[in-house]
Amino acid sequence: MRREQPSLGGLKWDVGLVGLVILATVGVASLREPRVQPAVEATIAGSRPPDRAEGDVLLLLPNTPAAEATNFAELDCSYGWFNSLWQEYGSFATALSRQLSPEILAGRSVVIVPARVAETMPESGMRALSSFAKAGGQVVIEMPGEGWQGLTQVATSGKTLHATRITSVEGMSVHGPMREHLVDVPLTGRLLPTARLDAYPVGPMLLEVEEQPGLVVHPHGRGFVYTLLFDYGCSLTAMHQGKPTREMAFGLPDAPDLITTAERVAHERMLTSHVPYADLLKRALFQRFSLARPVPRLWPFPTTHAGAMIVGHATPEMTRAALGYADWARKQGGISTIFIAPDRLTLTEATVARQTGAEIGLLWVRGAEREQAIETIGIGALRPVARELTLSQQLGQLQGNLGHGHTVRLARTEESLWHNDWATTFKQLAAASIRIDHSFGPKKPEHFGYLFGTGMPYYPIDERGLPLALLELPYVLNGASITPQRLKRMLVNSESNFHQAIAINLPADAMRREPAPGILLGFRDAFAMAKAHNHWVTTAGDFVDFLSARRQSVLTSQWSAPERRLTISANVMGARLPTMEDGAVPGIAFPRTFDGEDIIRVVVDGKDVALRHLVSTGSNVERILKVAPGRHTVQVFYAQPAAEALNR
Amino acid sequence: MFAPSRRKQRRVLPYRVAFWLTMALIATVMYLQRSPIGLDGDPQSSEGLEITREASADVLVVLDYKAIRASGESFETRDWSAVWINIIEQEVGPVTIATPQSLSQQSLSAARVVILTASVANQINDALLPTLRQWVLDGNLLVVDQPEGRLREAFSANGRAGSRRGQQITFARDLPNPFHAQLQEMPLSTSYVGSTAARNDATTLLAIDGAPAIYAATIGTGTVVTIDFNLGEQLVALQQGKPTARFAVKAAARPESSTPSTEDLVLDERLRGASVPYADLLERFIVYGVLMRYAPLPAFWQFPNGAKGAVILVHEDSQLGDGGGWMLEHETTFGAVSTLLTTVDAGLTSEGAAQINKRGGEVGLLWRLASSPAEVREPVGMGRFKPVARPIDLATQLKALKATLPVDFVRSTRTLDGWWSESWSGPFETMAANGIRIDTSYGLRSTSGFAFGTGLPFLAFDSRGMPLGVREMPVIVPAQAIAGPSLEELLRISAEGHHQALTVSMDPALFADFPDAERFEKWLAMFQSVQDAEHVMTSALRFDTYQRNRRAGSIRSRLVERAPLPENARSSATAPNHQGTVLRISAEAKARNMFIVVPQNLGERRFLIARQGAKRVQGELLSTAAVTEPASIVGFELRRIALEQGFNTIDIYYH
Repeated sequence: MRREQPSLGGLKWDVGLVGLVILATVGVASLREPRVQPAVEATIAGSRPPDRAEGDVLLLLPNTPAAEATNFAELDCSYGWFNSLWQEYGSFATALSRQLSPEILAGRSVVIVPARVAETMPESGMRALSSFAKAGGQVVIEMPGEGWQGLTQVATSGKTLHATRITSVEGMSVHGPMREHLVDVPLTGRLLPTARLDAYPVGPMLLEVEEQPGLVVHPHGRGFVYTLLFDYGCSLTAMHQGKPTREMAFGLPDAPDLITTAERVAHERMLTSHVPYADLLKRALFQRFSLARPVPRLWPFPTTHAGAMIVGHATPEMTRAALGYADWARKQGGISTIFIAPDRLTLTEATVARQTGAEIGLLWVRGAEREQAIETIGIGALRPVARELTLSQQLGQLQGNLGHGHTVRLARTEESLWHNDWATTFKQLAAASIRIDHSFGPKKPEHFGYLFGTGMPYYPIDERGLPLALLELPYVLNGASITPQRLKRMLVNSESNFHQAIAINLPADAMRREPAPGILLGFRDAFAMAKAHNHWVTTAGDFVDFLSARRQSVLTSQWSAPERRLTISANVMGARLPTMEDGAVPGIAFPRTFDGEDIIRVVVDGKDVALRHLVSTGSNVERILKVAPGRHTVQVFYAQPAAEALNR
Repeated sequence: MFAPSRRKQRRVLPYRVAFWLTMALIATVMYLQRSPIGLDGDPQSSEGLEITREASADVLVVLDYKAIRASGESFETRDWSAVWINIIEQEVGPVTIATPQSLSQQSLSAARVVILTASVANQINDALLPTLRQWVLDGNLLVVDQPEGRLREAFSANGRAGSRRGQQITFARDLPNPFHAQLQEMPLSTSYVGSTAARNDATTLLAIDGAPAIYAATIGTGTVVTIDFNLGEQLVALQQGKPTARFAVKAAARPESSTPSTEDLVLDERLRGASVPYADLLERFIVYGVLMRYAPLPAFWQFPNGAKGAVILVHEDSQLGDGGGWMLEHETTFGAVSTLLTTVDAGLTSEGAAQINKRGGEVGLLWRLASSPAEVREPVGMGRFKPVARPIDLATQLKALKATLPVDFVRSTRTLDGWWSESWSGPFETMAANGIRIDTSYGLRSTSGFAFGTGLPFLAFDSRGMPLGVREMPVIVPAQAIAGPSLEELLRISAEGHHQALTVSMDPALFADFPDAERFEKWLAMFQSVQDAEHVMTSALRFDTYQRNRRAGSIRSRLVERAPLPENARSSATAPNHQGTVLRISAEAKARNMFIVVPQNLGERRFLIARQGAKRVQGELLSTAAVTEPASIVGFELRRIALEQGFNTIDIYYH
């Protein structure tokens, strides 16, 4: 008899049942942790801002955008000059180099020719500039090549070196912090070697770079020609936006795709700097212009404030804590900006946020310290697929949660993470209609200060050298790097010299992640200290609105050398802001002395103004006149030199 | 037609059973891996210590540990004689301990005060009794605690009315108000011995329910003081808390857990939010109002640098790890240090611990007590299969913490969230077995005040009445206090006479999730308040070290009557003889920041001058005037004198 073999086929229902259970388990698991599709972000390229025709200072810009830079040496930094003038003067004119003509130069005090414009300047342009200088104008030429020698009186061989540091400032005849710190300004880019020159006033050399002439000045007729033999605009741009180490990327070749903004700094020294090196370099040159004739400008803060103080709280999850800080700020007579993750704001919290008066910005969630912001896809409760929200979607979600048609125009990236390239993140932010980013600043507790050379906002420029429709407002203290001592030092320095926006970022979870007494002590004292040091306590949004109004203002001047009279025509615009309800109006600043002689009289719209009503800037270089919004004519009279007075 | 199918099913059945058994096994393994079976811990515990002290001291305490161990089984019948060690060490400093066997003529002659505790109440033999009597006749002070037999016959009232439970202290001689009124409000857990007649010529010093509970009788030039109530039970019940009769702790009904907490140990509801440290008030009355009344003694001041009190700063952290030490950074700017009590899983690293150590801070253990909601378990098994989990015991937690510390010891603990065991002394026994010296688990979660009658560290006892090597320092101001006296009020009370150690707990994670501005301002204001109240701010370890120095030091004194007064102390008031009484003191200070105190007055005689010097020639001190300052403890007036580190010789002149 054949014995039947046992068959596992008899267990097929059992195996099937187990298989079903396993499938169900896997299904439930996938529902609990759905697969996340990464977001695809839109970007937008930079574009040329509209030209302004009015202003004492004219910036010539390239006729066409440059090709996309594949390394930093190829970058067109003309808009580095734009940023500098925007920050320092507020009112200035721009024109394409092809528009250069005697008419456009008429009435200007200073004309700036950036390196890329100098490269392509036709001979007729050079002639026009020469005539302008001879008539008493001042011309600044960056990296002049062939053909410029007649105007600059500087011969270059065509070879280039690397500019990394300033080796002497003897020729600048500067004192105090400028003299002390100018030599520490890190430079980036090329240096055109030339023959050795004596330092000013014996010779024409103002700045020595790498022991070669870096900035020289020659008289040209009744005017002056300043020649920059190093990449001034690119040095400023590298300090502002970061200095790539290779092919427009940062760090080592194996650096991750997202890095912190602090990893972009141009020089290690800037990780712990109480000195805004970029602004120091800007002012070193710009203050020279007033030696030939007083050059007025619109003060970068409302009325006669010495600076501004901005406090922000970023939080990927702890909205309640951020609101707590905002409320604490309100109780101290201050105000905060809170950067909230779009999916962490309830309606109640939105109401509380409004009650605190805080400005709201978006914390762009990147999935670094928390899970990504997602939307799930599926049918009904069955949603096995999740999609990461794009920046625009996150912005929309936050605005929806805020209700009342609230428009959010500020952002900060989670953990200050940034694409490891030149401008992708900026371009993504600009594409999402973010107008102010606040992600650049120190990350580690031991880092603080002006990591990006300035506390003032600036326009990032893309790979083609064009500015993006976005402002980057760097912060100087972050989390555990906040101490009352540091804050006080920065405010004192700002009041007495640097005149800065001091932005502090106190993450809402700082006391959980890296608790330190200085965080709370610094925050507690920040607003009182700011007020004590004549700083405007404001928000990022208000500050930028003020600067926009300032940029829309017009300021031109004429100098009458025989009468030693500076006549300023200004149409000053103000901005009515939550942090300055009476209106934030820039003051008019002009040099305190000319040719060593003090101001003896100031007439505003035909009426004498007592000199005691003028406020000195911290370094005592300028006087600030407080004006109401509208058109004004200001006449500033400087004393005659003693010898001339005797002759009379 | 079903036959083949049935056969087939029968054939498949064993495979089916095997298949499902395998599935069940796999499912069980997976389940156990995710949810291991919990085991109970096996805590180490320590037997009580037979503390011996051979210090050079004025006070001799006679104890019999065998009698203590053999005493009654319940809390109220247990012999708590060893509290005398704590009383004298806390209030005076050094103490000598003797047993009935080691008590000799020599040890008697070296002491000015001898305390015969209840444990030796009926053990004084016939030979020793006359010796004691003679020693008293010579002008010394004998204290007999609930004497029995021959001892009672010789020195105390008859005690024939028997033992009664006390309700209220009704009288305390010469204790000024408000302290007198406060003592009368003290909740009692004690019995007193009633007598049918008071002892002849006895002076009642303390009365309970109207009956003399402490009284003194003069014998020759000396005095015998009888403590006729169960002082030990009263102090232990107040300080260490009162368990059930069988030493269990009954948990109050709480929504979160049925585990007892130290809150359940509070003797009486009236103690919650108490602004009076009743246990210390009683101890100080006994030392300064009773002992020093008849035997003026010098004592080491209880706080470093002559401060009026101390604020012990502790921070409990189970979340921030290295960040838990952030408060220390600010505290050091005020010259203060603190103790960070951290759980082993909080995330403290070696770098973080080194930073705290460098700043002078102490790291202690925030103990995740087994069988409490705070316990942590470790999986146990073979390889990666760990089906059971057992609680991580104290020894393991300490080992893990030590591994991160730059020092090889952990001296301080606190149980996380104040959880306790059902065993009254169990956690203390475990701490003692693991070398812990100071614990701060006692305290109420949301109420400040002296819930345990003291802010000073007290000796913990096991349920047999034996002292353990651990001192408990209750938290007086908890991190989340919403009721009870404010710190400012407690500081004022301390500065005005109760002189306390106020352990203040501040949670470093308090601001982690919300910036509580009000609480932060309060914390900042605390430093000024503490300085204004002349209190020192220190860590548990440093305060314990100071107390150890006090205990390890030595003080010997003797009283010389009709001694010539120094030239600069003579006046018309001291004429014609210019003689007075001198309290001659030899003290060894183990640290630089120590002070002694002496009574301001000896009966009718007032303090005149203190002289401090290096050597004595023919009985006269070659000395300079010592700077003294007035001080007081619970209304008893004292003079405080700074000591130099090492040996000090001081003469205190009274007239």
